[in-house]
Amino acid sequence: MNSRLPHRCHRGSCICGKYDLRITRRCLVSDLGFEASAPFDQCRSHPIVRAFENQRADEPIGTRTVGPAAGELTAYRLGHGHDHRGATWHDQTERVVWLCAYELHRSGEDDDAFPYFHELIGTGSLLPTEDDYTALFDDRGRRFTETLYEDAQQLLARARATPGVEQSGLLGGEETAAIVVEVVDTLQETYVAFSVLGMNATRVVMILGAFDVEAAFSHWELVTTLPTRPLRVDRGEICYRILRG
Amino acid sequence: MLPGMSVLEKPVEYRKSRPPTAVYPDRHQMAQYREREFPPTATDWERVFCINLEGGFFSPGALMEMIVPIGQAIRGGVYGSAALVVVSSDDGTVAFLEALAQKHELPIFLSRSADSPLSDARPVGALTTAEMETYGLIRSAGGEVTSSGVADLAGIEVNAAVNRLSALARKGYVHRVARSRREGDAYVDLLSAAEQSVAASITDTQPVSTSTEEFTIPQDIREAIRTVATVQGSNPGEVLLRAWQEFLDRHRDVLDVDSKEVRRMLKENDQEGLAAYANRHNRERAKQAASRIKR
Repeated sequence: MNSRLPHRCHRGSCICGKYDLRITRRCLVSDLGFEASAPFDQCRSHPIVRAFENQRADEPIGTRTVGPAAGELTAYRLGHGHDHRGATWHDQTERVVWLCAYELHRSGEDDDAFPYFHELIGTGSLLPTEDDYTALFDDRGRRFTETLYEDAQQLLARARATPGVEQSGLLGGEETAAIVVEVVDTLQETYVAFSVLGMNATRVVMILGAFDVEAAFSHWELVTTLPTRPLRVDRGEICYRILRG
Repeated sequence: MLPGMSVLEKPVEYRKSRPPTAVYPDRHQMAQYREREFPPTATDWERVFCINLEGGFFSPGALMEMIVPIGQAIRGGVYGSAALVVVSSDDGTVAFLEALAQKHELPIFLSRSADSPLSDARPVGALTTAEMETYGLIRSAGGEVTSSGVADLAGIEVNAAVNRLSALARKGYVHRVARSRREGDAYVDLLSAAEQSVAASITDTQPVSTSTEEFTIPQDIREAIRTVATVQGSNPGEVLLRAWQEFLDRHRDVLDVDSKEVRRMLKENDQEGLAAYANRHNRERAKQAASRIKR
């Protein structure tokens, strides 16, 4: 029996450490028979989805491929018992493992799953579509906004409680930020550093807004270092500073 | 300039393009831009393409992916009769483009500023000193010459002038217009012709679809930043900061307006509004992500 606690789910995602598990819309509707809007936790009622979570939460790829190896686009076999087969794909760029296809399976018989998977590969319909990515980004945007403000304020409170000491934490479930507060007489300097890898300008505006809802964007000054250390530019880290009376 | 009207039958089409402000480490992304903006189709009129690189930070691979195929296609006549101008004020980028043009024998013209006249753009590539001199004569003569005219200007034999002009035309720097033996073939600098026919200058080049959202730094920026920094002779942190700072300078007003709205939504805990703001360009991102995996 698997005694591990289930991973947290948010809308269409099962959130693992470094990536999400998601199901393509085609697979969700056509192969698994769910509504297109079904959240991930609802889909756990299906054996292949439970297998997906159990087998891919810690290891994003399997050992046997579905179809020929295709570099980063290689799909992997997912099995559950004798009867259930799936195909998964690890999208490293967007940090997602997709369940792309499912079929009941009888090896060598009419309901052998693999000819079906190969057909999907052949018609170019195995991998996620633009709609799948839109749903992914929409869900992540919602996840980000739901906890951003609270996360930022908690981090700020910690930094204020320990002036001159760098505090770091996760913002909105996806962005790691480092913060240092320095107090000079009656002035308080707040430094916020974070990586802009894969981030767009909206995220930057939101992060800075969450740390100081009274400060216009132009009040933040882009600086080249944290008081505690140089920036990790090889990780795309930038730093903003704001001075408050 | 030859007496009377231009020898070209139609005005020269001047096509300006500028990639959105961003860091471009990805060759694939540049290939898509090139294919979208400069599809390989020939026309029966002459064209000048202008790519303004200002505001973008390109890895060497991305620059190659954008410039080399267009330069080769122009030289090979894929676009019909066309010329390519590339705008960059960055010394490192200019040096890299010069090296690319030399190595791949690309007939391209470099301009330092988006405000400069087209006819100030400098030809680079596999040009001999004599050919460069001849090109300068064409420019000084107004952009259209015959071999006898160049012979007079340069004080050389007509045959020598024919050879130089033919080489310039063969390499793709000037356009040759066949005429009767009595008139003699005309050789046209398309940049001068474009300037005269459409009063073109390299100004007001707008990004293809720029918005505040497009400054997205992909995951493989580390390598790209290092590479760009190496080419530009600066350190990676400076490159990143400069890219970010330039973006901020360009969009400061918009970002302040956005910031005001975001802070209002945060104060009012307007989750729907915040989600809509965070997600407003997801469709574009999704399109890019999906195109990346198309086999």
